[in-house]
Formats: sequence, C-alpha cells, structure tokens
Amino acid sequence: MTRFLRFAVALLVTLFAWPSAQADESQNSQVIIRLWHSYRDAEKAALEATVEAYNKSQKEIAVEVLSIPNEAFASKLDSAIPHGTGPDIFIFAHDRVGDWAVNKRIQPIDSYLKQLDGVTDLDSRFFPKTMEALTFENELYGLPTTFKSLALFYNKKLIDNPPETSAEMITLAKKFTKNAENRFGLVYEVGKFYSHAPWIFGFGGEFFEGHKAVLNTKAHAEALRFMKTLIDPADPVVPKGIQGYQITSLFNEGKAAMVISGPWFLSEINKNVDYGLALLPVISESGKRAQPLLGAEAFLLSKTTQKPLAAVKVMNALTSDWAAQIRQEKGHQTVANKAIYERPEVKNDQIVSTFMHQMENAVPMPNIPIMGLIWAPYDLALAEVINDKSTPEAALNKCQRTVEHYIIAQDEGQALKDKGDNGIGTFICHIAILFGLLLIALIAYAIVRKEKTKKFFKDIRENIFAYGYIAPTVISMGLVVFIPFVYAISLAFFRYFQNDYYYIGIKNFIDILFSGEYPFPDNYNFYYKLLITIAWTVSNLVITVAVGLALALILKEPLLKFKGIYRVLLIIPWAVPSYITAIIWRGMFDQRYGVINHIFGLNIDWWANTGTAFLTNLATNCWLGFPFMMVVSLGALQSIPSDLYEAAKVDGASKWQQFRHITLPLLKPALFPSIILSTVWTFNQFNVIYLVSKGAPGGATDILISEAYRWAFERGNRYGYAAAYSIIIFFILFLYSQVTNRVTKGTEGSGR
Amino acid sequence: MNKQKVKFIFVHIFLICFTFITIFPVLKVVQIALGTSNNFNLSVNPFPTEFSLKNFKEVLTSSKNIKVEKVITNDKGEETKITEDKEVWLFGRQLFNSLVVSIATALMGILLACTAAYAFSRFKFPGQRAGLMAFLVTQMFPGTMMMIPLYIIIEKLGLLDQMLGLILVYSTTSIPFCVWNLKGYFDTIPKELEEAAIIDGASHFRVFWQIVMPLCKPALAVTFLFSFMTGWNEFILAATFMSNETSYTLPVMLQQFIGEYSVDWGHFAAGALIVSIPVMALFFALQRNLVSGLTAGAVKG
Repeated sequence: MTRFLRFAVALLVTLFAWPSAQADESQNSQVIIRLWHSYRDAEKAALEATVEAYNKSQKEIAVEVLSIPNEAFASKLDSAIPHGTGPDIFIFAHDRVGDWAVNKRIQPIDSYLKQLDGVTDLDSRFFPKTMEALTFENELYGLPTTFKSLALFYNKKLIDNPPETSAEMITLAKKFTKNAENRFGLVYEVGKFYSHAPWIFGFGGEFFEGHKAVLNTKAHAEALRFMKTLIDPADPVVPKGIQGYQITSLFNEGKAAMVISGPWFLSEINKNVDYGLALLPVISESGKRAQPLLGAEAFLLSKTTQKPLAAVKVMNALTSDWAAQIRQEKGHQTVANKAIYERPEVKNDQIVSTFMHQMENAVPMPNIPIMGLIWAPYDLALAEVINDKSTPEAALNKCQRTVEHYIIAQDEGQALKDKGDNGIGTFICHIAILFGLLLIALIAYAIVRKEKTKKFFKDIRENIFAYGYIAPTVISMGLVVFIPFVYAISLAFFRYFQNDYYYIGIKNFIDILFSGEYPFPDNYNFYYKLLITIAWTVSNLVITVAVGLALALILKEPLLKFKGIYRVLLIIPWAVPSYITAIIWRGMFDQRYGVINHIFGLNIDWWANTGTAFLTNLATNCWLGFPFMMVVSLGALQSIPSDLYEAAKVDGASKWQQFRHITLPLLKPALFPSIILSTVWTFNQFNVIYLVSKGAPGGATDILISEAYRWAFERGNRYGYAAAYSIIIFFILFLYSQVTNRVTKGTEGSGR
Repeated sequence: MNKQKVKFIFVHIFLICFTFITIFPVLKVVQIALGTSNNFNLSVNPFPTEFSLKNFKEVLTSSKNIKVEKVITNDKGEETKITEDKEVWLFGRQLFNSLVVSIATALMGILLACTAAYAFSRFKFPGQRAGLMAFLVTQMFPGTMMMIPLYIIIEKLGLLDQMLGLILVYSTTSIPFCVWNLKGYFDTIPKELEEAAIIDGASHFRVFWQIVMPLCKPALAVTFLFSFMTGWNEFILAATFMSNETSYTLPVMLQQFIGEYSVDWGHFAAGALIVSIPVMALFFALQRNLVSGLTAGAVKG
C-alpha cells in the first residue's frame, strides 16, 4: 500500500512538472500563426505540404497546423475563440459564415487585405461564386480553398453516354435496375436535404426571399413529386434509405450504374472501377438544369486573433496559385483558383474539369444565419413523403411552419437586442432579493429552534475530522462540477442572441412547461418528450435487469462448465467504446443490408415509424447495459448464503418458490443502488439516441436530453432554453431519487 | 444425472446463441478492420473474409514531423539555436498520453473517492446525507451544457493543453459513482476492527490506510476500472482542451478517421479494436473483483 502511495505521488508530481506542450516562443522574433482544420488523409497531407513550403519560403511568419476531429471542431472553436485561446485562422465550410459573423467568431478581412502588398485582384484569382459564398452583408470574411458540390458519377462499363436530361437519366437507370438483385440504375441519399436540393433548383425553387423562408411553393412540391417517381415502389430506379457508405460499396461492386455524390467520393472508388463524371441533368419537365448546392471551404479569420495582419497574409499565401496546385495534385481537391484549371493536365482531366463546370451550374449555399434552421425540418418533410406519411404539399406546409417558428424566435432575440438593455441589473436584483429572503428564513429558523441550532454547530465541531476527509473531493467537485452547474442554471433565465445574453426571467420555463409553441401530440412538446423518456427509461431497466439477472442465475450454477469464458465474452459490450458499436447497431437495422431484417425475413424501414425507431434505440442500449446488470447480479447472488436454499429444499420448496421467496427479497437491497444509478444514466443516455435513431422520425424518438441538445445547437442557438430543459430534467431525477429513497426505506425498515 | 446432462446441453446451446448475438456487432468491427478496402462490408456474414493487417499496421505506425529546437555549440563556445524536423511516433505518443491520463485519473479518483466515501460511511455529521445526495445529483445534470463553463475554468487554471487539466476533469466526473460504490463497501466492514485499533493508539488516518483500505481491494479495483474507463474513452473534452496532435489521446485519434463527408471505416474499426484492448484486458484481470466489488457493499446480509 505505501509503495502504491509513493507511486501515486510521484506520478502526480511528474504531471505538475510536465512541460507545457507549447514550445517557448518568446525569444523567437518569428510571428506564430495558428491554423486549425479538420481535414484528413490526402487533403490533410496536401495542406501540411503547402504550410511547410510556406514556412520554408520566408522567415518572419511560422504557421502551426492543428488537425481536429470534425465531430469536435465546431464546439472547440466555440469554446476557444471567445477566450482568445483559439486559432488565428481556420478552415471551415462557408455555410457558417453568417452565423459566425453575427456571433462574433470571425471578422471581415477586407481592411487587412488592403494593407498587404501585392494582393492581386481576388476576382481574377478565384471563381466568383466561391467569393460570393464568403461575402456576408457586403463584407468578405475569408479566402476560398476549395469548392464542393454534387455531380453525376457513372460506371463506364454500364453506361456509354451519361444522360443529358432527367428523362434520359430515368430511362437509362430503368434499364439497369433489378431490385431483386440489389442492382440500381441510380443511387443517392434520397432522404437528405442536401442531395435533394438539386431537384428543387431544377424546378425553379428558392429557399428564402429576403428574411422569409419560402419552402411550400409549387416548385418545392414538384421537386418532391419528381423524387417520388424515382423511388416509386412499383418501378424504382433509386433505392430509398441508402446511406453514404452503402453507396460506395454498391458503386465499387458494380451494382450502381450512376451515383450522385461529391469530390470526397473520388478517394473511395476502387482503382479497378472505370468511371466518368457528368453534370447533373436538365429537368425535362422544367427545361432547367438541376443545380446542386455549392459549398466553399475557406480560410476564416478568428475574431480574437492578436495578429490579424500576419494571419491574412498567411491566408493570402496559402490560397495563392502555387499552394492551390499542391492541394489539387496532392490532395485531389477541387480548388477555387481559376488558373489551376487552365493547366493542360487539369484541362484534360475529365473528372476535375467536370466538377468545375458543375460548380458553374451550382447555387452557393445561402450563408445567412437562418439557413441552418431549415435542414432538419426539410429532412423530416422528405422522410414523410418518402414513407407515404404525407402529401408533398402537407409536408412542405408543416416544414414551412416549423421554420417560421424558429425565425420568429430569432426575431424575439433581435427585439431584445434592439432594446439595448441586457437586464443584468434586474437579474442581480432578483438574485439578491432571493438570497436575502433565504438568509432571513435561516436566521428565523435558528432563533426559533435554538436547541437544534446549537446541536448543529456542536456536531460540526465534533466531526471536524470528517470534513477534512471530504474536503479534497468537495473542492475538486466544486471546481469542475458545481461552478459549471451554477453557470448553467443561471443561463436558463436568459435568452442568448448573437453572442449576448438577455435576462428574461422564467420565460424559458413557462414556454417549455405550458408548451405554448407546440401543443401536446407535437414531437417538440415537453410532455410528449417526457412520456417518451419515461417509456425509454422503464423499458431499458426492465429488460437489462431481467436479462442480467437471468444470465447471472444461469452462470451461478456450480456444475456448469466454461463459465469463465461465457462471462468474459458477455462483458464485451461494456468494454468496447460505445460510439463505434452504436454505429454498427445502426447498420444492423438497415432496411436493405441490415442483418436484422435479413434474419427475420422482414422488410421494415425501422426509422420510418416511432415505434420501430424506438425499438432500435432500445435494442442498442439494452445490449450496452445488460453486462453491468449481469455483473451486479452475479455479485449479489454470491452473497446469498447457500444454507438458505438447502433449508428450503428440505422443506420441499420448488425452484420457483426458492427464487420468489429467497433470491428476490435478498437481491433487492443489493440491486437497488445500481438500479437508481442506472435509471439516471439511461434517462440521460444521449449517445445512443444521437447515433442510432438520430431522433427519427422527425424527433419523435428524441428524449429530453437530446431535445435539450438540439435546442442548443440545431435550432438557432437557444442556449437558455436548453439550459431550462436541463434544469427540468434535473428536477425530475431529483424527485425520483427522493421518492425511491423514501420507498426503499419504508419497505425495508432498516434505513440507516 | 442423465437428466442433468440434458439440461446442461440446453443451457450451453442457449448460452452459445446468446453469446453469439452479444458479440455479433463486435465481430462486424473485426471484419471491417481486417478488410483491405475502406468500405463497409454490406454482407450479413459477420466473420472476416480477408485477413489483412494493413489497417492495424497503418494505425499503429502513424507518425508526424514536429519541429524541435536544438542548441548547437560551435568550437568557440557560441550557441546557436536551430529548429529541425524530427519524426515522432504519433501513435506511441498518443498511447502514452492516454495511459498517463487514464491511470492518473484512476489513481486520483480512488484517492478522492476513498477519503470521501470513508467519511460518509464512518462519521455522522451535519450534511452527511445531503452531501451524499449531492454527489448523486451531479449525475442528473446533462453534461452538454457544462462544456463552456468548464472550458473557462480550465483556461483560468492555466491547464489548457496539459494532461493535468484532463485528469482533473475526468477524475472529478467519475467520483460520484466511485463514492457511492465505496461507501457501500465500507459499510460492510465492521466498525469494531477500527475501534480496536484506535484503542491501541492508532491514528484515524492510519486506521483508514492500514486496516480499511487493504480490506476493500475488490471495491478499489472496481473504482479503478471505472475511473480508468472515463479517461480512456472520452474524446470531446480531450479534443477541446488539447491543442497539439502529439498531446491528443487515442479516442481523439480515432475520431479523426470520421470526416465531414466520409468515414475511413477500415482504420476506424482497427483503431477502435486497438483502443478496446487495454480495457478488455483490465476487465479480464479484474473479473473476480468486479463481481464482489460492485455489490458486496450493498448486501449487508
């Protein structure tokens, strides 16, 4: 034990002395520019090559590159930039430009560009559409690196000439499609707004007119109907419910003649597939070309950088033609520099030049902040139409209403901002009054119950030891848990809007609990969410406890062989990181390729209905959770004295009677703490919902915790509203634990 | 006896089926990891069809050039600083980071949880019940809302980009479960043992350290495992607090295979298996303790 202690102390000491990862920069006169990105593979290598070349070419600036997992990138930027610990520049898709500009994450670069020598005319360097993508309210926010848009890939062995019109496309596709053999003429992600958008533009639709969303127009409905003919169950040319990775496999196996995908698809195609690329077709009905959404990736300038001029200089250098050439050659990027496409080897490359032509036939994704609000509602409209839950018109009307709701909420934020007062004064006032009242109540109590108060202080003095023992834990918990907790609680009384908070009292709570915006059966309604969450928690617990206990009872059998092996294998779900197994489970429920439909001979689209989608989450979480219950039950069973069973046997009790009257009653106290903890964990189980059903259909299987997350990050940054949700979750669980505490104490009569 | 045998055969058949279902998703991960393409194998068959170690090799041997400053002294004794590129074994660094962070998290978690749990178990003091409740209560507040304040605190403490920052956060988040579990275990240890020692003149601390601790090894093993896993599997905080590829932990490396548009399935699966190995090894090593350490506390007999 002492050796162990010494080791622990030594370890802690080395950790404190651990040199900070940053090298000492002070004596160096070089300016360090920090560049963050989330590229990987070839794109990452190409970017690093350009940075290395740049660092070698001059002495005054050194660029430091950091690659961050895509999943954590945006949240890391949101945490770091406001505190000045972020990058100087970073690479991101342009669709966040407007959002980040108003939320003070990025700043315009025009004024710095003017101060630099030799910045050639940007309009002649970059394609105008990519520049347009980076312009928000007439100011330029970055320099483009690449553009990405969908185009039509085709297998040359199966298709001689790519289609020019949608009618041709359908005829070609029909020729190849054999549904029974899983062969399809055309494959793309039908249910995704991003992949559907080309048809909308092809029929002449728009998303916004000024600040207003226009999603229920005739063009939108026609696009939906067009999509519907593609997946027509009687004569489909496109499979529904296909995900990205399945498209890759189908194309590589020669089971998909045409695929609509983007430049990222290039690196996934097997070398032995002979393929070509063509523009998306002209829609025969309208005579207009289907236009995909154009995304530009760009260097953006952090709002809090200390060295904006040097940072813009780096941006300018890394987007110049020589750097673009490296990125094109090494990273196979479709770069935004015009000059690259004049080079003979690029000109003759059918793939690259087609992407360039497609770009000219694409619509830059609107970069206004409210663009982010239409993705999820539109995905829902698509799902409803695909699954025949709704007509195109009805689905679009619903989508339009949802988006209008979000925009109204944004306008409320704007109104608060226009008022100019953030209400912090009122907030402090209210808090002071609250604390004052509390203090008065405490003093009054102390005076009235004098004896009790005296005893209280005496107890404290006598147990000073105990406080010493818990002090380190309380301090670290205070720091890491309670301070953030208090912060989050106070957020619930505010409205976040464009990087500022406005005090609005208990409005968030009223909006949630009285559900003004969303009446009961609505998926966003609080009480509906509560019902789903309770159903989720209860069903999970019942199943995991039952399965865990049953397995424990079997594995307890002393004469059974290979117990150790079973036990070891059955614990595996607990040991493997759940973020990968959850993804595998999602794959297992796939309608076409999933093992579950296959084994049971079903053909269910699991995420089309609330009930079945709920089951997918349930299966995954039970799989993750039963090993814990099994281990707990094993331990509890071992502690039951065997003479009890022997006595029962002598008395002639059956197996069932033994279980009912000995095992169960003695297990209860052992299982209870685990069950309470497990309830709390399941209630707040975010990962499974987020990764498996993803809330489908339309948020119907989201539980309270994932709902809070969506309000914070997917529906217009309503942090206050999300915080209020979190507090309500907290109170529900608190109440639950109090009640169970009482109940168990009551039934056992042996409370401590 | 014969009847018994037949029964056991059925039990085995059931267990084999159930185990197969249980490890099915994991087999799928193995299959993808052993494949040669980065595609997702769409077949229903979960068994490996190829046996290529390419993905494992590439994950294990990842490297990166970093700049190292070197001071060179010439004949006249003048010092010049030069920076030169040095190739470092990235996976090795990240494995090291993960090990240090997780082990330190586990040790710190044990240290903090033990002392607190002991106090909760042995003393009756004002705030005891409320304090214990407060620990449980922290599990009830969704973590997503705490990210930004947590970042501010770590930044103010100067612990950004340092392992200690991660260790502090991880060990604290794992405390509540550990305290509850350990307290239950301490409750089963008869108080008389300690009282006797105190009469013999041992200090409170000595009683705790030399009598109580050795008796609760199983519970300590569980606590170790839980805190270790908290540090071992987490990636969002690690990716947010650390700003250097050489200071990332393994789960962050793993997440880097998931791009915005596409996923590098082969490497992701291989990486996930590599990352799971130490945890599985720990599970197997601590198996016996796990069974008694998790529950013995709660059964007071």
